[in-house]
Amino acid sequence: MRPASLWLADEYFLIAHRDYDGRPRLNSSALALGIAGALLIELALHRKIRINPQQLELIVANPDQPPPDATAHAIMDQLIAEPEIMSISTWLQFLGQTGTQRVADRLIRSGVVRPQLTGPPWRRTVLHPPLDANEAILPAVRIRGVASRQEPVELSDALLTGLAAATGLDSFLLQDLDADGRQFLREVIAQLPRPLMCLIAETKAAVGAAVLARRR
Amino acid sequence: MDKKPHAASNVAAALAHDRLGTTRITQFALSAAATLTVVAGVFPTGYAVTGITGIPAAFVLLGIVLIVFCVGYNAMSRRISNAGAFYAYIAQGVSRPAGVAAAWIAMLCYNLLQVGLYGIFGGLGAPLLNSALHTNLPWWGWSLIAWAIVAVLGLAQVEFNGSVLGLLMLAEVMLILVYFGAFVSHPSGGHVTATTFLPSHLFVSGWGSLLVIAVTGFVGFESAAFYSEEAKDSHRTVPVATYVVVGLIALLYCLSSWAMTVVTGPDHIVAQSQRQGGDLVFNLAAQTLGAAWSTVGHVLLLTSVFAAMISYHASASRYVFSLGREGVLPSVFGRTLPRTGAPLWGSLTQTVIGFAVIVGYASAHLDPMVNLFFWLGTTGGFGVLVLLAATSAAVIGYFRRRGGENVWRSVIAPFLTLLALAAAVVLSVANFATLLGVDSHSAARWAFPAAYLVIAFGGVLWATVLRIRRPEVYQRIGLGVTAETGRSTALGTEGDSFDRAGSLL
Repeated sequence: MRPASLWLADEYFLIAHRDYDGRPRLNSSALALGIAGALLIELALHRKIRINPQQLELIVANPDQPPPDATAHAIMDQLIAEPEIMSISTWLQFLGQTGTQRVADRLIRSGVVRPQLTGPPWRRTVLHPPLDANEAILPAVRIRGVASRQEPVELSDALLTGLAAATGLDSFLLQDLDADGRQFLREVIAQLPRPLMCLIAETKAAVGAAVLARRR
Repeated sequence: MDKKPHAASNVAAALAHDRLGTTRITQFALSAAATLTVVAGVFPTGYAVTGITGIPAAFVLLGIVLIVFCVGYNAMSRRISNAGAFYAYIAQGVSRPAGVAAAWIAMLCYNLLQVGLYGIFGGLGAPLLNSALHTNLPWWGWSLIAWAIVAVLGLAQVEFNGSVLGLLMLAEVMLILVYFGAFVSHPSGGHVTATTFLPSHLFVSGWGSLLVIAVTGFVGFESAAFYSEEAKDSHRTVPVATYVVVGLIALLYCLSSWAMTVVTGPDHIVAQSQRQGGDLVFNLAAQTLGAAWSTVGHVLLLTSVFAAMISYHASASRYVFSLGREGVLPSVFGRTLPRTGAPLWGSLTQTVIGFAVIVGYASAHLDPMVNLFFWLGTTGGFGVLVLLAATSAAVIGYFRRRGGENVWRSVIAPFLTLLALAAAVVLSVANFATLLGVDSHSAARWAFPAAYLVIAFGGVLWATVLRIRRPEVYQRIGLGVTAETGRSTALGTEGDSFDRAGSLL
């Protein structure tokens, strides 16, 4: 049951974790918000939600058509169940609580990663190392390749790059890329559609606010 | 913002779960106040350096002013959530250049307050740690050890857990109260006198210095407003916590600084402080309660100072981070270390400055308690006094433009505190020589306050540069980490993240 290609949040998850052992490259709050942002971008790409850049709100669209997969379905059910329109930042916070687990589960279902218990007995945590490290590094390699050759960039790759930069993964994603490649990606991101750019900028703001929040 | 509780929201319920209540915010703000560090470090040094006995009266006076200050401050915190409250308020209430100046002043303040702590840690900690561990390190050796630990923890984004800090804070307050009871029940000459509360002990030549000492003691109360975004109900939780913290600090400090004068006798407090310095409180505890209580106090003081160093390091570096995100500082300051989420350059800057100051003081053979802890700490406190005065002006300006508050909150209360605090600033500058304990012709008396003038001027200049070269950044000064999305409508800026899209990479 392998999908032909992975969803955007899946690829973000793979970029945000080390391909060889599945340990996160990001701190937990930035990771959670990045995944939440990726899940919302997926829904926007499937036209299940609309973004109002003036009010920074999410609006449910096309509630009658079923979402593309089970994870999106579950999130749409939550979106529809809410009595009031809520801000993007609220949704990022909310999806951040469960998003990482949801995306990990989806990747387990599609056979990309496997759960692995780690840590001492009194502090068990679950890692999700990829079954195939080469497959896990693929999204990053693809983006670097497109950028260094300055080829046309898919919308989803541009969004992925923007989201990675917004959450602090750019130093990893863009490593070994020369100044021209970086400048190229910068221009690509600058041309993203406004509502999607707004989602990414809100994710960046939420990551910044999490740095300033004083309790752990 | 009035939401009617119709159909239940799962999202709101899930997010409300980890919001902060009044008790928790009060506890955070009191922890930031580092009570035992003030009682054991600032008071004896203050008595010794200034030679004035009116510190208890100064706390009563400033406590009253700050309670009135909180009226306007809280009215602002209900409308603007920003982790750098002072400068955000000033940017939106006075002007953007004033806001940048305030941001830079605040940066210097928190920096001085943090670096000063290395002085008390080395100064009071070295004798204790050397005798306990049979070592023979100079004060700066211990300061550098503390500095290295703080530097590493800062980048690892490790901080004391809120509950640990809460317990430490409670232990400190309990200890101060026990000391208080012991001091007051062992009055010098057999009877308790309250003369140090009298205006005659306060209003003597050089009394502006006491106001700075009192402000330094209060530093931390303003942090309650930093939590407005995380509070259960920012309209109630944060204001209540702010009043409670100001009230508790005023009570605790005026009682404890007074108790010290009771046990030594008001006439001897200055001489004894000059002789014993930072050991005074613990020696008095040993005399009245027994040696064990003095040891307990010493240990708690070191943990208190250490916790304060870490938390002030984190505050200072987050402040720099926030300004970097906003564009008020170069954007490299807005970067974090991905793995830990620590504000990378904010933290490194603070670390480098700390190192330079410790090494500089050590090589100049200056005193860690008086020249490092007390001088830099109270100079930081003076900066906060300047910010408090400017914030009062900001409250008036903000509500004059936007309305929506009653006359007491928007005009009368902030106007009264503006007068009082501005007078305090003038008086402090006039009495800075007394505060530092230097000759009135000394260059230091002008150099310290002048540092703020220079940095404020730099801030205004930088704001002007931004206005010309990067108008979109200029427009959003004071909006914090949300500046790029322009979520706050306080300045009437519309949410347009797109013209800054390129800044993501």
